[in-house]
Amino acid sequence: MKGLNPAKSLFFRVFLWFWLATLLIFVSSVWLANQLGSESKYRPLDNQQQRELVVSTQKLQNQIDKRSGNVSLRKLLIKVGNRSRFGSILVDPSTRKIVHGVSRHRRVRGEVFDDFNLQSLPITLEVEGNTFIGPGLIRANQTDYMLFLVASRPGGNLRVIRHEYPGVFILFMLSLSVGLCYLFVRGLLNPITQLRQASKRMASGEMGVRVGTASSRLDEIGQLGRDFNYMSVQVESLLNSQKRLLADISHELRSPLTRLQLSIGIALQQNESDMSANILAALERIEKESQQIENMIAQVLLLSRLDNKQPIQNLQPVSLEQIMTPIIEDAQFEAEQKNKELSYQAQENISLYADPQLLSSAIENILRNAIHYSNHLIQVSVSVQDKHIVWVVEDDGNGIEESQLERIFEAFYRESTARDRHSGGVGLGLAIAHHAVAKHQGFIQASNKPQGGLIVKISIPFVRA
Amino acid sequence: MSAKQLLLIDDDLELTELLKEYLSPQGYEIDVAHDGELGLSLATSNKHYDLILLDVMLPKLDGFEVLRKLRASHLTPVLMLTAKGDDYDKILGLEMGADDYLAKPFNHRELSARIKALVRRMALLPTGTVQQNLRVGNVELSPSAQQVLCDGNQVELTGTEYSILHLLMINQGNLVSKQDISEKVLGKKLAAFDRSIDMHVSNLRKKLAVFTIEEKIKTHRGAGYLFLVSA
Repeated sequence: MKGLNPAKSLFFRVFLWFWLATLLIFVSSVWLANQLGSESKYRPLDNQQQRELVVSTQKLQNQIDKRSGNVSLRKLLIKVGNRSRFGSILVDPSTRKIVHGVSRHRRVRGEVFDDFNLQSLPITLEVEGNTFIGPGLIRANQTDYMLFLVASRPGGNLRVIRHEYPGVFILFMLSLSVGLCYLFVRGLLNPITQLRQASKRMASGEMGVRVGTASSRLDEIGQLGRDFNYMSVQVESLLNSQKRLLADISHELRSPLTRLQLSIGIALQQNESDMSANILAALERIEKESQQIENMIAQVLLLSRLDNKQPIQNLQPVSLEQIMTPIIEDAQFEAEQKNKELSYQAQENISLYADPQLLSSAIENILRNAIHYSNHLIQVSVSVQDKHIVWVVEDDGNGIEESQLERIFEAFYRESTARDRHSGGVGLGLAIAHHAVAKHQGFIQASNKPQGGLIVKISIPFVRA
Repeated sequence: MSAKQLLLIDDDLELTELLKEYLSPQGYEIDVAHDGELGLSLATSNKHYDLILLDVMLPKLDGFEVLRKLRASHLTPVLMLTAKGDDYDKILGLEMGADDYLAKPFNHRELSARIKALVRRMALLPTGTVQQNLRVGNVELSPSAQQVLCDGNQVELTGTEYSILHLLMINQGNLVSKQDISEKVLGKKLAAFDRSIDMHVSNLRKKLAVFTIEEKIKTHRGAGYLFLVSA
């Protein structure tokens, strides 16, 4: 998972740093608390504790006396402890170690009781989450003991877990901090991811891209999101007005062009023998050029029509043969004229739903391009692959610079080295092909062959008709 | 042969002037209307026109409206002048009974070829000089009166529909390819995926279906049409 590489993922880097920081703070505060917490806190007894200690000492001593002789102090302690909200422990006054007591209290460090002897005044002592009250004096089996009542301080359970199961405790704290850090970083970086995706979509030519929730935040990221949306609106309207301008100009050019062509017709109607050969040739030239302009206008208009968001209207069942036969016949004728060879292979009996005119113009434009740039051989094949119909057009020309491969489908793109205008084109043929294929939910792709030459692949989803 | 009468309905003044200048030497007499209302009133007047050239974008009454109102009473051949790039106009025009369409900007040679085809289409039909009445089943076609009867009821057909029916009935029982229909009736080569012939045949079918429930014209997809010889 490349998302986990801190060098490549901002998410993981921020996460890691933040988490390490919290972990450090956590560890150091625990360490500090331990350092400070080991200092025991002494307090004088309040009345209730006083009474509790006296009563408990009395009770235990009575029990011991009743049994006179060897008694199991442990059992007695448990018995007494069970009836009380306090646990009881007995401490040997000479060694100052706990000799009898409930096991969980035995973990209390020995030096806690170092300051006590049989003559000490009872006090409360708070150590590591436990409150000790004592000492009370107990004599059993000819020995003096110090009795301490023990209560766990509120919140002490966590400390108990920490002491009893340090592994579980650390795991718990780790996962808690991981979870919180994750939530924090995600909240911070999600909108950035949204922004990134939006700008990626915009870069791929999608218009009307807006970032969603990222723009509704009140902070700087929200600001960035709103700025992005504003930029997107501006770019969209700029591009639209540019496209509209192009389409409008082309629209407007149609009327004068119609008149121009008629004028040529009128001029040519004059008795041809009255005209000098020069004028006749010039008129024919004018006619040819105006035809050229007409073709360009038709292409620009077709392109602007393809560029809108509307789905294709003229979808109909059509057989592959119906589409390909006339195109291949024309292309083969064109190739022959240029002393080139065009081979064609197709899977049989394919019929599909398509706009035949659009699809034809796409394939035609690709073929014309291939014929123009090939040295000798053009290979065309059609097959069904993985629910797509795939056209592959290969030529044996010089190919295209790798960096330009993507750009050849842009409108008005021309290879800088070859600014020739062939077959009346203005660099719209491949753009039209690209758009026509996109209208069929397909895609078009160009790549260089290792041995030289260009491969153009058209692929559209195969909807069987 | 007297000059053919054309009516030109277009609001482009310069274009109409040029068209007049261009077409007059080819033996046409041309009337011009610069808006839809005037155009319609001229087209429905007593004067006979051999062909109407009708622009789509017109002031007062647009080309489609003119066509619709004209077709209510007249079957004068109509050549629609559409604008290139506006795909919809041609389909709609054909549906409403236009005989053909030509996209602006057009080549002058193409314009005169189309006009010739629509005006003199009878000469293009391979019927020879004798124009006999044709009868297939309950459909009767009389070339002299340019009339079609179905079960004795007169069927109102446009020039193009009439010509297509004529061609199909001459070749009754045989397949007539779309290429043939396009070349003989519209005077143009069939362009790839051009649906105008289908539109005309579909209109023709609808008109015949008013008077008979029998299927008259059979489609061979992708190939052409054939007029069925009734049992």
